[in-house]
Parts: sequence; C-alpha cells; structure tokens
Amino acid sequence: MNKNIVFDSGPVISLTLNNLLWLLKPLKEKCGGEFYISPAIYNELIKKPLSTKKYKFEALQILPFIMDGTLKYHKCQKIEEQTKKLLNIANSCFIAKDSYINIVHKGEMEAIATVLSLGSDTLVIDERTTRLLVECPHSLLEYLQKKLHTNVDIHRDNVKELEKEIGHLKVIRSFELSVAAFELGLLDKYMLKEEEKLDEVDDIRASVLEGVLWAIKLSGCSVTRDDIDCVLGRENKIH
Amino acid sequence: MHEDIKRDIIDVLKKGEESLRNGDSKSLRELSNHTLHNSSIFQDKDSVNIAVVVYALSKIVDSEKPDSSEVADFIKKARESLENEDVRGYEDNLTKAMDLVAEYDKKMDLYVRHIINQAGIKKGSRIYEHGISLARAAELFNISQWELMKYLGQTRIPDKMGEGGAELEERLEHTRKLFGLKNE
Repeated sequence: MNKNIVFDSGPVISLTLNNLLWLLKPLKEKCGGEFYISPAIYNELIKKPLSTKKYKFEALQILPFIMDGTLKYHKCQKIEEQTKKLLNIANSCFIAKDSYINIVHKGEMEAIATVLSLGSDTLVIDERTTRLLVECPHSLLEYLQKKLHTNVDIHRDNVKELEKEIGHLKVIRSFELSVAAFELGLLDKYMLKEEEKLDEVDDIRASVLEGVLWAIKLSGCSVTRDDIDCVLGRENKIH
Repeated sequence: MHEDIKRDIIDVLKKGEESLRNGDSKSLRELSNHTLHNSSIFQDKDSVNIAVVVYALSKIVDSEKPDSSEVADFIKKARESLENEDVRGYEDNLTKAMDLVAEYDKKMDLYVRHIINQAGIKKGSRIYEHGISLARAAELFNISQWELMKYLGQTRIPDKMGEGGAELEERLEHTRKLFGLKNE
C-alpha cells in the first residue's frame, strides 16, 4: 500500500480553523508516508491569504508545517499536463442547455493529478463534488438534474475515461482523519483527569469525539449529521 | 451574451425594478435565486454578477438607507440597454446603481462592499449546493475558499446534499489501514 497522501485545501482549512493542524505531524508519523500539497493548493492556503487581511494569520499558522516538510509542496511538468487533461474531461462530462457544465476547478484536478503522479491512491478532500466525481460520477447526473431543474445529459465516453483514470482512488475527509486521530489516542490530551471532571460532561471520551467531529463539520467539511451519529453510536457500543 | 441568459437577465431586471420600487426585499432574494440555475450551467460573468447584485439590493432594501427609486431608475436603464443589445450600457447602468447606493454615506461604502462580499459567499454556497465544486464556486464569485467553507459549515447545505459515493465504513476502513489501526 502506497501511503503517500495528497491534501486538497479544504481539509487543511478545516484543521486550521479548529487549531488541529498539529495533528498532521503525529498522523504522518503513524502513517509512514509523506503528506503532499500541489501548487494550486499552496496558492489557496498561503499565497492568497497572505496578500489580504482575511485569513492571513491562518496562513501563517500553516506555513511552518510546509517549511518543516510535514506538508510537502509537490510540483512537476507531468502533473501540469495531467491536470489539464483531467480538467478537460471532468468539465466535459455533463451537458445542460447545450453547454458543458464546468463542475470542478483546476486546484481539485491538480490534487488528483498529484496523487496519480506519486503512484499513491489516497486523496484527502472535504468537498463533495470532486469526491463524487471520483467515486460515482453517475450519481452526479441525477443530482445536477434535480438541482438545476433542467435536463442534464451525460457524455458517456468522457465519464468512462474519467472512471478509468481516477475511479480507483480512495477519498477521505478531515472527518476520517479526526476519527483516526481519536482512535490513535492523539486527542487524549483533551480528556480531563478523574479529579478535574465537570458535572456538565458525563462521558469525557464521547464528548471529545463528538466535539471534534462537530467542529470539523461546522468548519465546512461535507459530512452529514448521520455520519457523525454513526461514528458516535459505534464508539458508545465499544465503550 | 447567450440568448437564454439575456432573456433571463431582462426578466430579472424588470421584476427587480418593480420589487425595488415596492421595497420588497423578499422578492429580490427570490429573483436572485432564480439566476442561480444559469450561473451554475453557463458560469458566465453576467449571470454571476446579476445574482450577486440583486441579492445585495435585497439586503440594501432591508436596511432602508438609500432611496430605492433612484436605484430602480438605473436598473430600468440597464434593462432597456440590454433589450437594445447594448451590453456596455447594461453593465454601466448596473455599476451606477451600485455606485449610487455607495454614495449615500461614506461609511456606506464599506457597508456596500461588505454586503456584496456577503452576497458572493451566499451565492457561492448555493452554487456549491447545485453540484459545482467548492473551489469552482469560490472562483466564480471571487471569494476565498476559507470564507466559503466557514459559511457552508454554518448552514444545513451538507446535510441537504446528502452523502452519495462510498460508504462511511469503507472510508474509515481505508483510513485505519493508512494509520496502522487495522492490518492491510
């Protein structure tokens, strides 16, 4: 199993907004692979916010993790070419009112191209459209049709080619990373000792898990309430 | 400009002018939503701009600060320009409508910019809900992914969109293998 992982901007944003960036280092150690970001992701996470007042401080918090190699910046000519190819196919899969619908952005396809270039199979992305495009592009057709209130056609050859190129990839979110961090004991530092217990917190272990999962959801990770309940329910059964 | 887009924008401007004169912010917001389908499909700057402008106007009507009838005059002129195939005139009048709002109070300039930015975030989140990716939605409305993610997290959009794709258990299993929590 190739353990190199590529991050889209969303999961890094979710972790930053919740002061959980520090998790990247121990997670990387446990994983044994490298964590990568592509140039477009670097641009969104660092360059853009540094040029404005909004989210500048957040960008400055991410920067040390790039400087020390926790998040590696990966760029090569092959990725640029692959990005163009994937972007072209992905944005030519669905047609409405005689126009192809541009459903994805260069940054998202660049992250996927980086996964392919590294021979890896794991992409961490929090947004739903790219995730569905990798896992089940046909389900997007039905969804687009319903939301756009118009007939949407699918370009079957392009979808087939896309499935051939990226259909084997595994997609996880900052949500699953947080569950892993919890199960690895990385969040134990938030668990109060017996003598520190509060009346408001009945089960500190369950509260930490619930707290972190909701924090990730409230920062924009595309995860449903059902998914959170499912993880919490299972944790309750175990303990 | 695509004929479908032009027809829709003319219709939106006509109804928008009426709503502005009536001080009807609810109708303006509904009109703005109407433009989202074109914004999602064609992703042209005209559909995107009109969605933001009309939504921003609804917020301004709510604030009761500017005289809506003067703004409505420019909206009317923008519509007439477009009906006469004068795209430049349409854009100029739309800009004048927003400038007029900004002129009322020097402090309002910031207020208007804030409203326009908020409108972009709101509309970006709706485009995302329509199935366009987060980065593409942010790019279209010239907002940052940071802002859009933070806003989305406070809405019920992720729940309304549902999951689809791989099962949660499948995702967790792969994650556990990656981090040595489960044998490969």
